[in-house]
Amino acid sequence: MIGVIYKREILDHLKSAKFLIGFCLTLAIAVAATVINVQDYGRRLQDYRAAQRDLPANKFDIQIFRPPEVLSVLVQGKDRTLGNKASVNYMNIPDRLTGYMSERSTPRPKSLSGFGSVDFAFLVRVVLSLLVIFLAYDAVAEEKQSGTLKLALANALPRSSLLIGKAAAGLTVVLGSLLAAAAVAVLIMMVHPAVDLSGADAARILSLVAASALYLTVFYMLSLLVSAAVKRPATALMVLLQLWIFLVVVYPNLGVSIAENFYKLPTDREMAEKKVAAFAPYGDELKKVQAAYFGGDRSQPTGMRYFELQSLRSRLWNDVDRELSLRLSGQLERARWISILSPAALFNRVVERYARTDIEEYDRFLASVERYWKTKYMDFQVLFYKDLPAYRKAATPPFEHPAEGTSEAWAATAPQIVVLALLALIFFAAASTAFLRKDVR
Amino acid sequence: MTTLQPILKADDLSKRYEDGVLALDHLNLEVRGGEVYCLLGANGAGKTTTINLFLNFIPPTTGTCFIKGIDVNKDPLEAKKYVAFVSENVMLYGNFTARQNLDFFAKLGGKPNLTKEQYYQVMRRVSLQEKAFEQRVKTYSKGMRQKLGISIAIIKDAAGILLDEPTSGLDPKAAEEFQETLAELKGEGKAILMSTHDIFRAKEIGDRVGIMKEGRLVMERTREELQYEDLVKIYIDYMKSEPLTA
Ligand SMILES: Nc1ncnc2c1ncn2[C@@H]1O[C@H](COP(=O)(O)OP(=O)(O)O)[C@@H](O)[C@H]1O
Ligand SMILES: [Mg+2]
Repeated sequence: MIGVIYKREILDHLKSAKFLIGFCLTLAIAVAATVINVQDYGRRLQDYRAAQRDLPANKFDIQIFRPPEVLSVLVQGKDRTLGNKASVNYMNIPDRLTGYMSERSTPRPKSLSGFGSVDFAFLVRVVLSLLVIFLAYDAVAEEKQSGTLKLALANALPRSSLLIGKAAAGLTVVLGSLLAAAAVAVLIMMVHPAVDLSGADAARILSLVAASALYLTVFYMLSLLVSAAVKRPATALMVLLQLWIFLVVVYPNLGVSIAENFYKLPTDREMAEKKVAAFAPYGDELKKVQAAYFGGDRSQPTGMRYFELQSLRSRLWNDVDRELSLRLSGQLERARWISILSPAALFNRVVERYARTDIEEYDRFLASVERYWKTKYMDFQVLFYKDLPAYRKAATPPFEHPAEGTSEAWAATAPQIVVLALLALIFFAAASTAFLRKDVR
Repeated sequence: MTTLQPILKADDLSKRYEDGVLALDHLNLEVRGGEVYCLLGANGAGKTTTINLFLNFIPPTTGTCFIKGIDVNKDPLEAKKYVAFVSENVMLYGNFTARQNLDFFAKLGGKPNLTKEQYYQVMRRVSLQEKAFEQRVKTYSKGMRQKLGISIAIIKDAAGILLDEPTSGLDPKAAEEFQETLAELKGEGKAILMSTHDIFRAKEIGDRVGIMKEGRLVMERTREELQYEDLVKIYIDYMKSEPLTA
């Protein structure tokens, strides 16, 4: 029986104009967005390579560049907006990244606000979730209105079979569209010369598609629920569109603005004052040593002390910066807690993580820069005062930023995945209850 | 060739809707195989409610419906194997052709292996035009949909058939053809319960005719009895009489 329902439903979807239009639109957006984003990625990769190549031979002032993430083609996230250059010297541990060659500066390093440009994630979050609503809003309501529901249930057909058949068919069509869009996007990426996908990237792409499938399932089940709960298809559509606007547009941004307004961050001025206070005990000594050094005292102890004090200042300022950074993370956490029931916010968080284009990846990169400064870089700079010939001979130690493992990304996104899965289950259970009780006349 | 055991049976059936309307008031009726039972009654008399109770679309307030002896409320899925249904205004899947609709409902009705030729035969039997067989149903007129609805009921080949005002909206020719089909089904031994406003047809086709008013069966006559009585007059008298409920 489920098979009979399933087959009819699939056929019905494939024959419907709304599916054909939605499917074509989906593919068109997938193609256009991927072509544009992959070209943008190619240019950014070129910029990155050019910057690497043209690095000035400077052992003291070191430029570190963050390469563009290849999966930003699919999920742009914060990859483009959060800067990609850090300047490292012993007077400064960078607290933020700037644009290439400082062309763009990023005054607020961690902007909370959510959604980026048109990419695969947008396609799923906005376009496909809308398609889901348009495909599913009339699943039950339309058949009730037209009377075919009565006709079908006049047979030895359990209502649960009818609902499961419908849900399975609807999901097949939706997930089929998703897979088609993903296949097209990945294909376009693969033929672009700048893109080189590794096995780990493939695993992340698969995870990304799986998370998209889960997100769309949530919307499908929600649509099924509304369709089973209301009397008329027009009502179902209206309710669903309003819910969609709330869940996808209003609610996630509401979370951000509530968190920004109620969880205040220190101003730049307060930060500057804190930094001054942190270093105050050493201020006079630094002035003295500085005066001696520039007065011509280039003896090893003076030079060494001057270096030590400046690096100490860097560390103390960095501590102040870290405090701000912790507060920013707190704000972010709050925004996420507030949006915990928005499938769109959960989805975004998950796919940005898989694509390595989230704020966490930016933080990981900054942490790598800080670790580099505190270990390899400083060990190297000390040589200047301790063993100048060795310093001259040695090459600048390389900066390293280990990529996050896929399983770590999975672990990090487990809570969001669980909530999404729970939402899908709850909506399906509620849809079943509504449908079993439904007055089919 | 009527069966002894009734195939459709309403036993002390009442239905009070949530809003307090008593739509059906202790109805008792039986339809045997090879018998056509016509339920006559004005709008709101309780005819559709009766049929909905037989299909377990609504629960009864008191009483029981039996289909082939199976309590509809206790084992609806088993009971519905033995009954086919034609609704008042048949609506089908508009994007599908007549044959596709027929195929779908045949499978739901427990007939998974029918051939195209068998579908065509059933559609010919209800005199649907040949050229409409492979047309999308959304292009159909009401009469064509009704015919297709009847062929859906026929193809299930169930012992009982429930028809809710099947001829409303049919042109005279189609109604005539419908009556012939009904006679054939009766000849095959089906138990047919049909609600209608149409007294003349009820008199012609009904082996028994019941008149409903405000949820009560106020009169029941057999074909034999009706040979000596004027059904039209009886019906109109009942319609004119005082409301039953004070
Ligand atoms: N869902 C319902 N809720 C409340 N009252 C109803 C409902 N359906 C029908 N009724 C009432 O029950 C009575 C019988 O209706 P119905 O069985 O549809 O009559 P018929 O089919 O003979 O025209 C009418 O008074 C009608 O208004
Ligand atoms: Mg009626």
